[in-house]
Amino acid sequence: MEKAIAKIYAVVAAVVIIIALVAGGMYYYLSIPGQVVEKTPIRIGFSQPLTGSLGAGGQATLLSLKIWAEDVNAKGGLLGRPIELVYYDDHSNPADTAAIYEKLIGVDKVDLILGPYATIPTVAALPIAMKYNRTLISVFATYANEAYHYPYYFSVMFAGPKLTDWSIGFCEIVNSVLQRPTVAVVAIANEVGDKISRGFKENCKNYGFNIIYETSYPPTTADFTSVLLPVKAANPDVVFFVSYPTDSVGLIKAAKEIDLRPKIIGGSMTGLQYAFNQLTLGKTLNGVIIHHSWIPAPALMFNGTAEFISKYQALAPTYGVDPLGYYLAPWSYSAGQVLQQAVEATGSLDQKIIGEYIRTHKFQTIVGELEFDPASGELKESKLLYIQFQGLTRGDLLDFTGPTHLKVLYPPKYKSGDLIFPFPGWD
Amino acid sequence: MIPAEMLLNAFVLGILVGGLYAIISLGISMGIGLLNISNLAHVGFMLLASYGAYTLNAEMNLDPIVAGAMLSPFFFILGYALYVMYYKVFERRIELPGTGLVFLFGLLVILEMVMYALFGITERGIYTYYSMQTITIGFLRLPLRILYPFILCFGLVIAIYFFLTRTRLGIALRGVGLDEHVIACVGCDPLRAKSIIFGLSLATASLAGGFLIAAQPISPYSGRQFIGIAFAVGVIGGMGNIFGTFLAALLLGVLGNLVTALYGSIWGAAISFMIALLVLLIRPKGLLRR
Repeated sequence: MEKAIAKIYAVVAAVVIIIALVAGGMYYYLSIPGQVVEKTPIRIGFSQPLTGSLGAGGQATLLSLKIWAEDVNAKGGLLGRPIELVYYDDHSNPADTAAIYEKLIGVDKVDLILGPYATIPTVAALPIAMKYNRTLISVFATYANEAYHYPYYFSVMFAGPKLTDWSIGFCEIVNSVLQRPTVAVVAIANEVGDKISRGFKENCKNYGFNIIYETSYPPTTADFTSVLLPVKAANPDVVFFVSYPTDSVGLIKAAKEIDLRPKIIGGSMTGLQYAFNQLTLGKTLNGVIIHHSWIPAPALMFNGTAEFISKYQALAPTYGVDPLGYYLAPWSYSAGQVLQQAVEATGSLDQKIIGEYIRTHKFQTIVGELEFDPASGELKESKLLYIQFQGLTRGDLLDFTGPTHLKVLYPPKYKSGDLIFPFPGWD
Repeated sequence: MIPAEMLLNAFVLGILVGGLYAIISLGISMGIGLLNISNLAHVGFMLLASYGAYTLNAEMNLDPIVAGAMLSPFFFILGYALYVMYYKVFERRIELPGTGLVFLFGLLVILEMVMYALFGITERGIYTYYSMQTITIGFLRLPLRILYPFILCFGLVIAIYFFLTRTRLGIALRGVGLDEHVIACVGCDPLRAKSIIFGLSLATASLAGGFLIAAQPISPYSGRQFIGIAFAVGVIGGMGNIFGTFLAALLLGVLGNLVTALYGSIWGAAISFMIALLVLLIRPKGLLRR
């Protein structure tokens, strides 16, 4: 009897699992809109971290590329053929990324490839692109080609070719108001944190800033008050953070809690460009300076930018991605534009011809003109912005929408406001 | 050199952070100590409660900590039902070692996927009046987002302790952890007792979920960052020992904070596990035995 009941339970559990699998499969199948294809499409393949730690960025990149593909198809396609995106989720696991590119090239036989979002999967994808001599355009990868020097790799990423490019804007801002200031550096202990803080320290040397305290914290840190107490004890003029999304929020909270109040505070704080994190911190962000890649300031509106942003914002709730899409989304779209313009200009799908064209030409995109450094594949000239949150009164989504409370301080050609100095303290 | 009052502040903050660790670890410690299962999925349920609190906050403007408490009866029922299912389908039928671990890890992955499907991957946080407030006592600055969890956790630990040691049901429940067969002989249904324990442990996950989203933004996968610390706390405290878990959490919080303030946070994280190993060497059954 007991055994029979247990068997029934097991059968019920098995049935539940099977139903879930079938329902999931149907949901997945039905959620892919059917496409009416008349001519053979040009197939563009990529791996994307759609789940796992990099999922937020991967989803936003995917949505942007889908909008790009729709835009291209609405205007008659590429070389008169429609484009079809072929993509797989690598679960933020670089081992999967490499296998996916092998499959895209070897089994799916896609015509063109694009890179995944972010540095770590891109580093995994690059050797596969090299093995098959494919041109690879990545999105938001930093210095992925440093070890490979592959000539047909191009990074659609706002930073310039040198490590120091990342923080030069921040140093320019500091230098405009402080002479030989004391500086503290707090960086996440990973490859990106290490590279950006190395570049920053080199800049400090050149500008004559005096670094009096530096520390790094592991990515799993849950509370930052104790990380920042020694910073407060050192009492620097300037605090420069290099942080990732969850810790950016934690650092700002902790800085407020221990009342860390230098004259200038902020840095390369990834995640504070996203609306959800901005809403978590609200008005507290007033006076904080962060890096950015695009905001809707008049000087940053190019051909097609406004149309893209409105399409993105309409679709963002369905995809569960950042509702504003200021940081990553327009750049992801522009990666598609670079590929499109190279194919159209050369009239070819030959990888070498496309690659050579990208190396030697300029591209007009929704984030402005892009030109690549032929040696590294990074942008020839940094497009990194430093912005300051100013005049936030409610801390709601409306406060963070539009350019009113996000003031571009650097570079001068995109400048939209003046620095509030010194940092006024925590609201 | 860091001034003495800042070190003292780091010390007190460490105690408060320990409160958050404790509430996350309580359920895991109960699972290992009383049921002999390493509930890896615990952090997944915690996150599920965080998302529940997020939804209740968005729809009804409910405070996340209150929401976590309100959801806890549902988590109790869920835990109870889940354990009955687990017991009948896996523990009783499949005798391969590690089955429970595979089941619970699988459950964690499934929970993450469900949260991902429902809420997307973007980080969610809640802005409450206390999430950015600090109270100042002399030179001590105490953030409310970790002070509140600490106070409530302290109350919860005392409540659970009295429940397990002073009530008939509680004593019976502890007995199951010690010797299932003896308990069955005195007329108590071990499956029912174990299901209650598992239900209770998930109820604490629900409370922890409310505290977590009040303290920091979350994504479907952010539970994993706590697995290590939660198990370390449980082991150091003596698995299943409620006060031991609480003390161990405070110890790890304080030591982590002091080491971070003095030598940098890379060491702060490593020290937790060095201490866990040391405690195991010196006291193989944990700081306080059950």
